[in-house]
Amino acid sequence: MRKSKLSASSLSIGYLQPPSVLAQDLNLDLYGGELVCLLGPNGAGKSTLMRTLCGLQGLLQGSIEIMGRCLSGLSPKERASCFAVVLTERLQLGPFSVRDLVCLGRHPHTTGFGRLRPRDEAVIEWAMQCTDIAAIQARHVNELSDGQRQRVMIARALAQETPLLFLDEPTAFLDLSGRIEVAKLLKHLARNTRKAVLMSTHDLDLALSVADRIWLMGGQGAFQTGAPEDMVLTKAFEAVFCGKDILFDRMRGSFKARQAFSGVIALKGDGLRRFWTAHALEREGFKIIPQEGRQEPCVEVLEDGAGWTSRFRGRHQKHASIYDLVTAIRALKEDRDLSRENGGDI
Amino acid sequence: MKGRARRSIMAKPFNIAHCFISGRNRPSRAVLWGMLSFMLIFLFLLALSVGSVSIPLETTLDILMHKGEDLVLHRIIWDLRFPKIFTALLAGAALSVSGLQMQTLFRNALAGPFVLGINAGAGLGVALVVLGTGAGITLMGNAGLIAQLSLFLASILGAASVLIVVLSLSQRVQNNVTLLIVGLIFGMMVNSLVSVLIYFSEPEEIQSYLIWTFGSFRGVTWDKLAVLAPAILSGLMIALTTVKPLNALLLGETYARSMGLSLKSARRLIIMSTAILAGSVTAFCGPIGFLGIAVPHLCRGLFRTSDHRVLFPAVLLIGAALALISEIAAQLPGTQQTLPLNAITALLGGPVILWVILKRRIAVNA
Repeated sequence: MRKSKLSASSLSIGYLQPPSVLAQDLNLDLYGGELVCLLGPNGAGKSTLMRTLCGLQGLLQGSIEIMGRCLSGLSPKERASCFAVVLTERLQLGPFSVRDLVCLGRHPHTTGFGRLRPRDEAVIEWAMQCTDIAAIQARHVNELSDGQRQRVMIARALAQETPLLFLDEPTAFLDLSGRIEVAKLLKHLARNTRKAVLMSTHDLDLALSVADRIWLMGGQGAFQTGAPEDMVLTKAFEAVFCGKDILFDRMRGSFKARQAFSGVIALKGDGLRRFWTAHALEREGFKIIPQEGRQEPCVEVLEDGAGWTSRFRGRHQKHASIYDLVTAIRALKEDRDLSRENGGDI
Repeated sequence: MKGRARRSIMAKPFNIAHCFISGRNRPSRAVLWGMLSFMLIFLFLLALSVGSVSIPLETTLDILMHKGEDLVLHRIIWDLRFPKIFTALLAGAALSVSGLQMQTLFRNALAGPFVLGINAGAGLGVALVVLGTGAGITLMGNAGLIAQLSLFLASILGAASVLIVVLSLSQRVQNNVTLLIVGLIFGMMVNSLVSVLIYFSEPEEIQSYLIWTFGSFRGVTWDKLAVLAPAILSGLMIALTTVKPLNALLLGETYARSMGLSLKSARRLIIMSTAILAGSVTAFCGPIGFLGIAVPHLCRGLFRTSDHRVLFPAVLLIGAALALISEIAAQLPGTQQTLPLNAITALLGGPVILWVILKRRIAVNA
């Protein structure tokens, strides 16, 4: 039996004033070395859950235990040595160096004016090395890119030396590579420092590729947990996110806009080029059927370099790129629609 | 990229401030501290020798060493200029520290004791005593110790009550700009109460109140300094304990709480020290504007940090120095004329505040 760093039982979260319960009867565990991703639509209560778990907000019912001790029995200072947080809000700071900001993480460990002892300095160095910001420590926080700034905030949280690390949408403002870097860093930290890391995110792709476990909050208090793959197989993602406009592709593990098909088109070809041709045609509103005989309309994917051919509304055409193919078909389709409309008018 | 772009915009020829603020060839902190201390000593001696009567520096030093023969000059230096200078030093330091606290607490670059109506509150307290009692307590004259104490208490109570109202409103108002407006409006409302009091007062009382609003370090004698100095020193001692909480508050309240800061007690300490500092200075010297807002910005620019462990002593020194410079300038050296102190602090502090606003615009545009 693994020992959990944090465990909550029959937990209800929400607000007293005005009274609203966002989720109830939650039973949660966080284990050291694991990266947990908290997913859910806006308003499902992700931030509220995080704030409740780290004691920044009161709970409505149930109990939370941190390393075997009751959360409500901890003083603010003791709590600060259990949790470190990285928030979504963007900082508005005056002139402040990266190193100074990381030093703030030592706040719960220092006394008086916050003088740093050699041990504090060592932890700060370690935190900056973990997040790879030692080289920019003299620079000012305002001069950094969003990705670097997020690393600095993570370093500050590390300097707090806590067994639990909570991050509220740490990838929200980042570009693709920044998101992947941060996610990899968190995973690495969880594994190497044996911290329990909990991050909320809207980024399903990222969660599927790095999370050890998913916490999924649906609306109306629904809560499910499991490995990302479990969540795909149990259709949990579909239940929470899918609606009239969104479809979950269980094979690819991603969402796509649900298409209303306005026609069928036959497609001949194979491999990667067929896959992306089908993708484009679906985007254009066609349902793809396999080629049988010589039906119309149809598209054929030729050899690499030879392009595409299409037969559509009696026209036989050759195309050099998918863009050409799709625009040609769209033009023919719109012509037809237009002439039908004009005929109606007369 | 961003930083470099900003630098190049700031890098205009003949801009002396530029070499301090923009990075290259910046003096190290040790040099800065040395320069500041030297400047303060220089200003101290300068303030002793200039005034309506100019006293040569050598004579001044002789009198300081108790070697002087001239009893009149001796009295001018010991009984007039020394209390005035000490008051300026203390008041400048107190207002600047209080401004620094307010700017961090409200996370607003334009916050300061004056902007949030604390001085208006102190003004109301003073007005109630001066105008309301009808006892004809003259502020700048030699009032009794009890009168001084009641003025002092009224001013502090006025300052504290305004600050508490603004702070309780700040819990509901998310937006800092809104809060700033709330503080300003509240200050205006308090001032309108003062004008009601003025309306029903005798001309002599009104005049003594009006003179008080111009601000002056000159009304403070050794006797009054005996009340003012301990008050400011105790306010500064409390402020010193808020250095660490203020640093935590730099990241915002949620981060501060996540680092184990008790917001309530931190706020209480900050309010208490600001009320004592701004309140006592206002009681004895009048509502002195601009210093409290401008000095913290000047220090952030010079020392290139928001770390309160550096800013606190920096603000103390520069605040004291700027107050002294204002006092020397207000004397119009060599003449019998003096200017209202508030006019000088506004002329000195206004450009600094403008510079902060404009620099921000540039940073955003770059």
